[in-house]
Amino acid sequence: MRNKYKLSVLFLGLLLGIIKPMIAQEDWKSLVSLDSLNTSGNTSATFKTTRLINGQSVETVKKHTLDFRVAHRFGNESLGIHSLYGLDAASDIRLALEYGISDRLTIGFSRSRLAENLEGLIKYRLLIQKENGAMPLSVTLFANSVITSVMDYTATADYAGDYAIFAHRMSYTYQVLIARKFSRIFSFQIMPSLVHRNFITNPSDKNDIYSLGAGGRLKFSKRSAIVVDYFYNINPSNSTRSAGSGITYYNPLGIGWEIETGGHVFTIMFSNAAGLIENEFIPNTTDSWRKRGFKFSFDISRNFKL
Amino acid sequence: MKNLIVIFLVIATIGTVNAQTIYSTKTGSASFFSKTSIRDINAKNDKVGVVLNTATNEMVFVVSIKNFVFPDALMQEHFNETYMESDKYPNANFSGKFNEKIDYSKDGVTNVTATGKLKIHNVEHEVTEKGTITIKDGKIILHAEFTVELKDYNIEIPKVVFDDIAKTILIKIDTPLTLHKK
Repeated sequence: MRNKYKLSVLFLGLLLGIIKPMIAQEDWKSLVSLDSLNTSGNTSATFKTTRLINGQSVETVKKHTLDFRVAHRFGNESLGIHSLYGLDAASDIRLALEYGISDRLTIGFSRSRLAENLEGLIKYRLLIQKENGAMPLSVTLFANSVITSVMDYTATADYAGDYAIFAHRMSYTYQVLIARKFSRIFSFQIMPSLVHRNFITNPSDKNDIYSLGAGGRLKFSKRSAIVVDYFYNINPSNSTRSAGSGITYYNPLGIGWEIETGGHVFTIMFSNAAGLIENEFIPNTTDSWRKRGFKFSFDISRNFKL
Repeated sequence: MKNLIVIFLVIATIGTVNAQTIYSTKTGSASFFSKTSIRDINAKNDKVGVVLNTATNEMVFVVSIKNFVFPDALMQEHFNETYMESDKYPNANFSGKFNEKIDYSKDGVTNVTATGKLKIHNVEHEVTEKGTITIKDGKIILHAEFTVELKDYNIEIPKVVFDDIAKTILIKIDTPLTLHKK
């Protein structure tokens, strides 16, 4: 009995003697863990570029980088074979220079073919999502002001014209972009928006159009993703006009394939909107997907580090 | 019986790592350089974790990929998202051993080689690299320069890449270690 007890103490001692250093050996190796090394923890690349399809994304241009953007939107697919399904037409063309003053602040200027819109824009990244969950969302504020510089053909003997007063040419967009990168491959964004137009052609239209946009990006390979965005107009011009006023307004829906090559981002897409800036595509989309009113379109972004 | 308990205690204590042999840092530095005729790219990580056990000559390096800082933020994003896929593979590691006997009690510089497993982009290779170990005032400084072939670690460079990236990357390690405090 006593011997048995002695043996078991000895055995336990030996066992501990063997196990303990094994544990300790593994212990010292894990003294530096990955968790203790990560610092900034900002979620990167919620979206690959500063645009979704029609709308803005929460991304801003990186510090001291110039983003040169060219977008071309062709005509309606319904134009048929004699217009190569819209490819002979150009609904809008936009050239833009957007510059990152800091990683959070972007300013930009663009010129569009449609209504010869000249746009000045400012974008500020207010909040950045953190990987550790301390900040669950990214929030970016966007505003632009646009001068519609198209020639005024509306003047007659009795009427000074739509743009007789310069202020009539001005319109503005204000947006709060709220996004979350849910996983390595999926990000989602909502975009409460307000477009204010100083001048409206139909007196029953509203100067202010409120819209709620939503969009997402789903990565399906290392360099490409499917991107979708949609704007639901809360008070479209249809709602205030009497029936049969001639034009029906639709909510803009865009879907596209985004390809990143390192420095360039190409997006090829379809959208029912004609215009390429918020001030046009939110209030003035008059084509419907259901009536083959969608247009082929592409967008190229090239970044230059200055 | 008393004797047995003493034996028990002695055996249980033998083999526990003496804390005096563990040296570590969380602020080691690792830099890499990519040189081509078109463009030079370099990035630095000042938060490399290293621990060295002077009793066994074994060491572990842990590098968080996201802590590499580039002069160009867009390049940094591409590095993480496209090349290193740091969301999937957040770290690079080296776990190995010095091949030489080192007298840690004497100040001076010694040329050494280390052999072990280098894991980058979730691909592991057995490597032997040269370096120096400098001992001064109770500090141990590890220094190494070596090259890594991107294709060995399944890091693909697209054919249509506009930022020209070298196929062989030079890596420099510089890590001053101090006695690990519990």
